[in-house]
Amino acid sequence: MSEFLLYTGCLIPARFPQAESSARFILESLKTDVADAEGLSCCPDPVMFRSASEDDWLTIAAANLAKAATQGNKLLTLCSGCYETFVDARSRLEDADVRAQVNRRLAKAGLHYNGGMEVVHFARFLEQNIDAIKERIKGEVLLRAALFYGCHILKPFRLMKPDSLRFPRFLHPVAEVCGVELVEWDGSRCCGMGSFEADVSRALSESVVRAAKEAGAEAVIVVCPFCFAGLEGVGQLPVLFLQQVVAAAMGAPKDVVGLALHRVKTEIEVRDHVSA
Amino acid sequence: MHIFSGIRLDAPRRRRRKLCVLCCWRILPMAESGETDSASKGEPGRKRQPSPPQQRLRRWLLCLQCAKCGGLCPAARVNPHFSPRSIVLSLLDNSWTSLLNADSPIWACCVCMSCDEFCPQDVKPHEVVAWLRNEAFRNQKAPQKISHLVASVRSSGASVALSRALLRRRQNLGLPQFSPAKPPPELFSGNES
Repeated sequence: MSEFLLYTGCLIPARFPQAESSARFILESLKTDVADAEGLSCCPDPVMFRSASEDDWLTIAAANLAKAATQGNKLLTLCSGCYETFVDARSRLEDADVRAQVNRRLAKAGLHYNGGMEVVHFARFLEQNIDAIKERIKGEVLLRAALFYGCHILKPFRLMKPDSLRFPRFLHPVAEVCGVELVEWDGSRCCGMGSFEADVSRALSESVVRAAKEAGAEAVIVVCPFCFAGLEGVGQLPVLFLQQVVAAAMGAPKDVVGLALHRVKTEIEVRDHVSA
Repeated sequence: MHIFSGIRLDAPRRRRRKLCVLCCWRILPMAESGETDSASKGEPGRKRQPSPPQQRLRRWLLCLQCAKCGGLCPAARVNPHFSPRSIVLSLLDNSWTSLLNADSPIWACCVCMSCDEFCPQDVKPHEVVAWLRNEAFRNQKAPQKISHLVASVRSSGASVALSRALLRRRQNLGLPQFSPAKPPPELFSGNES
C-alpha cells in the first residue's frame, strides 16, 4: 500500500502528456511515496457522462474508488474533472442507503465499496507540499501570468473547501514560490468547456482570455486539462499547467516540461538562483 | 403536503403572508402522487410515465424564481435562450417534457455549479438540468456526442479516443504506456444504444 495513488484520468495522458510528465517529475523530486493506480477506468467525467446517466456515473466512480482503496491511501488526480467526480461520488456514497444501492450493482462485477478513500487534486498536493518545493527550487520563473482556478476545484464549496469561491488564492503561493508574478483578476470564471454548445464554450473561453490579457498577463496558468483545451483553443495567449511551471522552476529538463507540444508556442524562462 | 416559503409580491396584499409554493404554482397533484424514487425508476424496457424523483422534486419545488442562478450563470451570459431559472420553472408548471430534445437549452449548461452554490433555497438548478439531461438520454433525445462518449468509456475505458500518434507522444516524453481498464459491463444500465 503506497501513501498516494496517481490517477492520471483520460484527457491528460492522451492529449496533454506534458502535464503528466511534469507531475511525475515533481513527485519524484519530492520523493513522494506514490504508485500508479492499476485497473481503473475513466472516472467517468462529471459533465458528459453524468449527463447520460447519473446512476451509472456514480456506480462506475464507486467501482474505481473500490479498486483504488485496495492499492493506496490517497487518490491523487491530475484533472479537476476526475477530482470532482471522486469527491462528489465519495460524499454521496457516505449515505448508507445510496451506498447499499450502489454496492448491489457493484456486486454483479464482484466489487464492494466500503466508503473512505481520500482524494487529492495535484494542485492541492503542491499547495500542501509548498515547503518541500521551496527547498528544491533551482531558479526563478520569469513570467507574468494569470492563475486560472476553473470551476471544479472550487465547487461544491462544502466538499472542496477553497478559501474563497469568488476570489480564491489558495494556489497563489505555489506559483509565487516559483517566481511567477501573478496578476489580479477573477480566476474563478468558467472556461465553458462543459457546455454541449460549441458557441457557448468558445464565447466563455474567449472572455476568460480577454480578461487575462486586460489584466496584463503574458500567459494563463491552469490546473485542469479541460480549461487548458478551452483556453488554448482561443489561440491568443499561451496556456501552461501549474505543474509545468513548478517542474521548470525545480530544474526539469525541457523535454519533461514538454512545451514543444503546445499549440500556442511559449518558452518558460528560468533564471538560476546561482547566477542571479 | 404544504411547503410554506417566500412571498409572492404579485399576490393581493391580504394574501401576502405565507404562501404554499406547491399550491401557488398549482402542481400539487403531481407532487403528491405518492410515487417514490425507487418506484419511478421501473424496468428499463417498460414504457413508463416519466415523473421527477419525488424526494428531490420536493426540494426543487421550493424555488422562489429569484433568478439569482441566472444572474451568476456563465452560459446564460452568452446564450440568451438558456436560463437556469426558467428550467426550474418548467418543473414548477409541469412543462418540462418539452425540454427533452437535442436542441433544448438544457445542453447549454456548462456544469460550473455556480447556481447550486448560490441558490438561497438550496434548489440546486444544476441538479435539475442533470436530471433533465438524463431523462433526455434515456428517451434517446440527447445529442449524439453523449452516446459516443458512453460508447467510448464502455469499449476502451477512456472518454477520449486513443490514437497511435497521441500515444507515441507519451513515449517521446518517457511516460509509461497508457492503458485504462474497461469498466465492468455489468455497471452500465444498458440504455446506451
